[in-house]
Amino acid sequence: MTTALINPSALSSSTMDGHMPTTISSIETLHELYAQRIFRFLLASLRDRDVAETLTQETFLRAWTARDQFRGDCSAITWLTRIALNLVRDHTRTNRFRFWRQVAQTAVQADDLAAHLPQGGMSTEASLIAHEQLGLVWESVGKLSERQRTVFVLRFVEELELADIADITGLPISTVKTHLYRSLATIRSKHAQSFSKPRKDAQ
Amino acid sequence: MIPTNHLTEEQLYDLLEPATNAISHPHLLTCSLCQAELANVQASLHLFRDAATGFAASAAPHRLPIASSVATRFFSPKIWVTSFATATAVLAISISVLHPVHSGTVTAPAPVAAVAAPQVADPPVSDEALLEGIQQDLSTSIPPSLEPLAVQTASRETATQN
Repeated sequence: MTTALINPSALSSSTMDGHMPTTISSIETLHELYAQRIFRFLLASLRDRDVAETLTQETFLRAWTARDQFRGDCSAITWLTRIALNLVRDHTRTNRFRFWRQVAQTAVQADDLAAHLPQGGMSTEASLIAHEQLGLVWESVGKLSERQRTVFVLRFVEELELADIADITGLPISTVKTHLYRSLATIRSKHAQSFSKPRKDAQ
Repeated sequence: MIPTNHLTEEQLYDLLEPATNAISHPHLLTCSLCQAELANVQASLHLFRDAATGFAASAAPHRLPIASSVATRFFSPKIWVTSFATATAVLAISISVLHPVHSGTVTAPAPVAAVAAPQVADPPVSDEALLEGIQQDLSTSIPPSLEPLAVQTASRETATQN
């Protein structure tokens, strides 16, 4: 059994060798490596910057508190994402009304995200199309159920494998696939509506 | 030939997988609508990921507040002064409340001590003495505690014989 600790040297060697770290010895290193990814997952799931920021910190706090339970059976990011997902569930279920009120105040809109699109070599027209496409996906993802959105974000934003998504969500792989198909159907229909509009307008 | 059955969600998902070679899919070779749709969904998903990554890179908490804030809070003089004042107040209140309650019962345990003292002060009995006592008890036909009854019975028996 490997006993590599999560410190910069041990983690880089374990990443290169493909071995999983089995203990967590430095919360700072863990935060430095994964805070952005956890924040991105929480932001795409909750669509609220303040809540995502708070829950990112909470994720690392809980990870540190429960570090003895980490046995290296899964990767550190899978473990952290599982903690973050539990926080999302707790937050949306126990603070449902407060959550939606807060979301209304500090919600992240598609325009906020579009400002961070890479603009390198993009024409004005291409930039406008990209803006529109992003808006469509953002709107579609907002209409997904909580579970569908989680699975969709884990697959298409975090680019995790189906087995990891099943591990994180506690769902069978077949159910994960079903959620992905349904979320794709929603996005597809939104795109179809959008592309049929100009044709109708033209007629 | 115009294709009628367009891609299902399952097929679309499979085609979105990076390992899949979408160009070789038989339906896509003949259906321009599905080609356009696939390209469109692919592009949208890439944009979504890129934008979320860019946003997270700029807005994610770069510093870990746990260590810094907890440490500064723990070592803050204000916290120490407040904690000391609170502890002193609690101690003063507990002393003032508990002292009168216990002041009237200070002599109460004395009888218990008086009873317990002789038990502790009993001299140890040697084994020989203990055995001798047992043998004396066994050698006597009537136990010492029943001797008064034995005297009465004997007098009754003599009376009946007479």
